[in-house]
Amino acid sequence: MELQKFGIKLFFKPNGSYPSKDFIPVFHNWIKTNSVPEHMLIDVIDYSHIPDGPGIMLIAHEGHFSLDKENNMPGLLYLRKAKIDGDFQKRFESVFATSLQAAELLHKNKIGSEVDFQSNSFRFIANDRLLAENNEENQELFSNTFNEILTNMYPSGKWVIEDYSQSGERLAFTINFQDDTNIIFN
Amino acid sequence: MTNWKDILKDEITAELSEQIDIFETQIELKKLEKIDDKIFAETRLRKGVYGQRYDNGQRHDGEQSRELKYPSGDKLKGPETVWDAPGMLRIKIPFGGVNPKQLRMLADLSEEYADAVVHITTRQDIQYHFVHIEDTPTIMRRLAAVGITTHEACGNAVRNVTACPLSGVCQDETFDVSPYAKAMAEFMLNHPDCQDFGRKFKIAFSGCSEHACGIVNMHDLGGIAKIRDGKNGFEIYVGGGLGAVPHQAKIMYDFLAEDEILPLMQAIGRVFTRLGEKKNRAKARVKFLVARLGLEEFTRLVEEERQILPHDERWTSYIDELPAWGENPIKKSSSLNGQVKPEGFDQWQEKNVISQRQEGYKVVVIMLPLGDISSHQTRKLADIAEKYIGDYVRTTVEQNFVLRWVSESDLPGLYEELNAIGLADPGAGTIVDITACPGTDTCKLGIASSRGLADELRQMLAPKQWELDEAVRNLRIKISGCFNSCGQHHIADMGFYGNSRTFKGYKVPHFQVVLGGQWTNNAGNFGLAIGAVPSKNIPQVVLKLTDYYVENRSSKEESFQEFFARKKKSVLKEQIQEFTEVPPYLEDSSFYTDWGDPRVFTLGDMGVGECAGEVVSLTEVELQSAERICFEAQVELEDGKLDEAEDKAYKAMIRGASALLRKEFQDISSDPDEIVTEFKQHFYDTKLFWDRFAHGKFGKYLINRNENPPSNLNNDSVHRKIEESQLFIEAAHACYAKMMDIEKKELSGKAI
Repeated sequence: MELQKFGIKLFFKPNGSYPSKDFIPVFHNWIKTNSVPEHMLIDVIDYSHIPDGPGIMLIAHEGHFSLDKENNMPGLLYLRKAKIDGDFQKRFESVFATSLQAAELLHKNKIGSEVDFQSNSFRFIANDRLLAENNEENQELFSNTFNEILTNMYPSGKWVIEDYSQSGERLAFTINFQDDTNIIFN
Repeated sequence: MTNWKDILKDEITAELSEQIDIFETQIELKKLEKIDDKIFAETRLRKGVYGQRYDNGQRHDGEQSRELKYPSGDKLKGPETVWDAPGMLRIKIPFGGVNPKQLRMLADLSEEYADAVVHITTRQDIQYHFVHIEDTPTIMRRLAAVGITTHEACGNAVRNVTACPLSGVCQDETFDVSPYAKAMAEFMLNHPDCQDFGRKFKIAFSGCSEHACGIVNMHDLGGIAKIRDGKNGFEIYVGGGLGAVPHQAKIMYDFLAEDEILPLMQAIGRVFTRLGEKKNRAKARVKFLVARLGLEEFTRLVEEERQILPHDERWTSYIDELPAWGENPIKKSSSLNGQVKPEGFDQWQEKNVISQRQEGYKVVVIMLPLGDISSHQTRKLADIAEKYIGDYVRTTVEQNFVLRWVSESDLPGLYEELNAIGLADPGAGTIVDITACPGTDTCKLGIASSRGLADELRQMLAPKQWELDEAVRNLRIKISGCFNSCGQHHIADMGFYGNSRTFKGYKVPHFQVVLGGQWTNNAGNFGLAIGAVPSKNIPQVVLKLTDYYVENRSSKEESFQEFFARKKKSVLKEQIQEFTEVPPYLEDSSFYTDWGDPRVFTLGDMGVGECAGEVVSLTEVELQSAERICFEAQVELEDGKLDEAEDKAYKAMIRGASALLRKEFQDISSDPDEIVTEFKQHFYDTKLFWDRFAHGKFGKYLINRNENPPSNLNNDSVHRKIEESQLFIEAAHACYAKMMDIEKKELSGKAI
């Protein structure tokens, strides 16, 4: 599996309501303090005026972080752009780890109130229509791959893969854990 | 097949395919350092691949300027432009026409290669931001596969050809100019006679003379539809442009038959190539050539060139196809007929729905805040367009989309579907529909945050738009991040352009307030600046000026423009005077940051600045004085005193130069000639006064005026002299800030 450009979205807790613009100084501070390891942080862009859009974005050479509001499911999205060595499991683990690091940073920053994430769910988004076209064949291929990866990462966990993206959208699906597995801040 | 090139090879025209292949090769050669930086920069610009803020590898984080250490190291993609730095890609959309298939592709590519946002520009283009140069050939191929090119979207070339977005359905138009705009765009694309320009060339078409959509007067070449003796043609305008110093286009031909417009442009291209300025970019637009030669001589040279042009079938071949041109609605015309209207429908319909000349059909305007639409919304919009109208979507110069050929009975359903994806904001074409260039968000030239201000004004005005006086509600606001006018501030009822002022040692973001611009009559009049106001006070300025207008207009029939034309500039300036004050940093630090950006302007300077205490330097006082004199020049112009106005514009520059000299020397002559000589020696020749991008242009305004006092003044020429004077003063402020920075660095060095 050659896919390099993909992302992970960690959802905010359903009752979490955070004014988008409050994140602007937080992201600027991350740039100033080089807060995200192995990332060259470049700039902050305010797209909070777009409903269903990327909200506030933190642009980095390696990938973009955004407070994505797509489908009215707000959360922290990390979309990787730069290549990572190793097989897909290794690449996924790296992107997943960066997402969790960013979530933990946001959690610690306390935007008005504490930023909380759903601990038993994340969304995978393939961002390359050449290598991961959104079709049934690839949905099955990636689902199987994720089942293998998650079995290695959470041997006792139980999950379902659901909410596949619609035709025309990027290949994406959500992994919902059915037990007390906590993917956040372990 | 594992690459887009192979997959799409049968879907791209041979010509486009070859162009993209060549560009891809040039990228590879540049990576091997086999192409000079400057040459590669112009090469990529011609492909629409533009630079973006921080691409010099430096970014100020509020405390200090820090290096952005890109993996590519020292490798460049142009002078001072780091290879790995994200850039902008401009995509040409001739006459704004775009279909659902193209919208889906635009959405997909924005996700995969940019920031998942599709941005509409003030010239009907699309822009992506944060694009890596090595991704651009693939983006170009995928765009080419749906009939879109980025070729000549930037650079010294014929840019996107624009036209009224209502062409073909407008109630007032003489005829549909769309096919002419399309033919012009196709004919000029990569045309050999237009490959050696000194600067860009912009063309626009308008269907009528009264309304604004085409804004022909601010273009290098413009055509307004006209019929004479039963034959289609155009009133031809040439030499217009906004930029730092705006020029109204001049009428070149009262009527030019349709079969002559393409050869005319070709002939102009040859004259512009041969005689246009090549070395000094600041004087290289065709407006300067027209001004230098005079319209009559320019026209003579063009006609001479026209006579010797070898015949080209394409000049007229598209005319044979005109009878077949037209749009075929997918729905039958209908009426609302008392249908149940969803909540919010009436408010939306009032300004966002325009009746077509074809009965039973409407144009729907989708107002995009700041010209932005997400990839997700774009894809859904494509579905909606396909369902209701088919192919007939257009972008507008007001950074919106329009959907044409909506059957009237579909309006409630369409509204609900647009509303579900956040695309049914009401108030299109009103005071809440604000135009803004990218400004400091992404533009290398931006001084202040035009988008931040636009967002703030939109949020302030949108909730109260129904309470506003109707005349106020119908005003247009346009904002540029600097004097270069990409936000078209000159042609707004209320325009603003970004600048900065140094206050007690600190830089404070400001906007110059520009009043008197005219959007109607194809950008019929350009506004003039009445004063610089701290950015954070602009919302209050908008409220103050609109209240002042409502309370003091002679009657409800007196328009905003008529009112401000009637009022003395000095009276207007008094209205904003209270907002020009900057509170001390410790009292209100928010003035020292820009909208949507918590970084304090040059915070690193402030530590030293605080040591400087509350002392206001004589230079600052004199620069303020220069601004006052420049303003007085406007008042003189308003009173029709051309000589006095021009003289004051000159004196304002002299005072600005004197202010800078005073920073360096105790004894300053009061003789203008000596001041200019000293200024030239110490500031111009040393390049201390030079702008990073405009270089010596602003200093030249003073030097040229001193050497060659103008004669035969007219309203336009004095207007320009005042604009030049204002720009000189802006540059003097910037120069003073630069001198303070140098001084502080030196002091800091000594302290270590």
